[in-house]
Amino acid sequence: MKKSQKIIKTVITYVFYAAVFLLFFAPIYWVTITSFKDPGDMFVYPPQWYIPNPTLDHYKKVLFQTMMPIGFRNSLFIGFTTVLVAGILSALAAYGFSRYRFKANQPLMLFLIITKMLPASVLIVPLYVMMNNFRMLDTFQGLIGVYISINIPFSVWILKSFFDAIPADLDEAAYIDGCSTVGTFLKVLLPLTVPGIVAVSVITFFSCWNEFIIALTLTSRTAIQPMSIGLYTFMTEQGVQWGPITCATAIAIFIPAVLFLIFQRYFIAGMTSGAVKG
Amino acid sequence: MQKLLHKYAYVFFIAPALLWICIFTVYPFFYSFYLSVTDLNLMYMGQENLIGLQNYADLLADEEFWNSIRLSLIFSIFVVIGQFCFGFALACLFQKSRPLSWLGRTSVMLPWVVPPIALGLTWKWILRSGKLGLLNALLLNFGVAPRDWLSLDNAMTTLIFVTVWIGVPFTFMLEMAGLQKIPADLYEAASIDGAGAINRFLHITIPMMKSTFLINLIMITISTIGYFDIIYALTGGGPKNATEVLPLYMYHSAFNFYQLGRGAAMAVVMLFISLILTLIYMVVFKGEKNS
Repeated sequence: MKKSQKIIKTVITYVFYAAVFLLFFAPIYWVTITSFKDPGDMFVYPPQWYIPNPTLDHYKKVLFQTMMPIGFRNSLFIGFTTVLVAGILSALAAYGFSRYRFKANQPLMLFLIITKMLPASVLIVPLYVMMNNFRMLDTFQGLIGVYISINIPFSVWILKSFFDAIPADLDEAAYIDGCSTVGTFLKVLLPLTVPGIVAVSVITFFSCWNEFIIALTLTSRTAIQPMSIGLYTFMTEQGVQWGPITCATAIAIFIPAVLFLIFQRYFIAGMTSGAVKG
Repeated sequence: MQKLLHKYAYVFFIAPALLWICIFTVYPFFYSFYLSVTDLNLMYMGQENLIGLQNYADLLADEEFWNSIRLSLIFSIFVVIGQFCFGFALACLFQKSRPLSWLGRTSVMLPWVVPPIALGLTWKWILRSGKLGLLNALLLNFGVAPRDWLSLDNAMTTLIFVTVWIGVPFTFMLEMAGLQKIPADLYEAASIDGAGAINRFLHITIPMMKSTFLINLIMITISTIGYFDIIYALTGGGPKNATEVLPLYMYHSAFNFYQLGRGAAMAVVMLFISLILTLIYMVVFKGEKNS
């Protein structure tokens, strides 16, 4: 009796697993296989879950006859620059918050939470006017500046929790051995927080790669627009060219998906340490 | 001197990051208050006049504004409840690690790391009207007639479902982390005392998860109020203005009708809503940290 109950429970659990897997994976699978389908096979009933006549025509079209490659290039550039600058600024700040006791420490960390909680959409109007005044509309500097700013708070929280986990004795030992403050930071602490830095970099890159509304507001030239805007414009301009659109969508999904699979562990550790713990 | 330098060394570490945030987040934050009392027009940049609270008065008298508030409320309530319940159910389902469960876990989290705009387009493709749309084709197998998922009557419901689908990973991840922090011996002790699965859930899981729940709920609520991408990609606020929630209406007023001042006033309204929620969040957060 007990054993059969256990088997039934396991079977039911796996049925649920399968349903969940399908619910979340099927849409992404569907758009990906569509991008490899021959135009003649794209609109058939009933839907085909395989690719009858695989073709790379849509990909050739997207990569050589549209503006999408510029968008992908811009997104990569914006992403890497933001990761670099935001990472450096956040690591410095996190170290300061973790290792020094000062009156404003806690209030400033709370201030960081407030800025992190603001939805991007509430800032687009003032950001637009401000960038217009600074003559930074339609520039990489303007967009990247904002992206760095929205990624710092969370990065500081995550990295601080990683620094906090390193005992202060270590700093002292290094100090006694003749290491300066900066030397301790660079040579002793930073190497120990590599997992945190990886987590922060991946999270920041995702947030840049996926960002839409700020880029929509602050850029209008194709030459500097990121992939997300390119994708949207492509959709509205080309109307119903589903083949190339599904390709561009598949590429846009593929890059972060692969990064996620590689860095999953770091990513989740970072997300949860920043959001749940304190 | 050396000692003083060492004492204030933290300034050197934290100042660059804080300064950056002040320029790109705090300054626009306060600037929106100023803009909201001007009649700044996108076509005449730099020529704004102070008009007091006129924008706010106009909003109060604007039916479309109240409509967008109503839609935002409906959207937020259903998305928050849906995302929270679904996310928690999934977290419970995957709490115990079994062979192949990583596959389910990973697939749940996937929608969260890929561009919302790409997912919006993916869903647009799946939700196509007529029987060539994937969803309609699948439902046809069960005898459900094809329908237009983004029509006037259906658009809001569809949006809520898609937004929940995209938001669930975040909830799932936080709740999973919360569940894993509950000490296993609590469950064991309860089992020995003869508590069944339902009792263990009600008397251990729920109380232990209380603060995770609260934090999670507030975070979802704030992000839902400012939600923009999927709605913009799927419906653009339409048909007519059936899905024109507050952020969409603000965007349209400011950038399609050039009324930046009016848009700023709406931004201030949204700021206040999210600030109040953030303050609640912080009180909860602090309470949890101290306990």
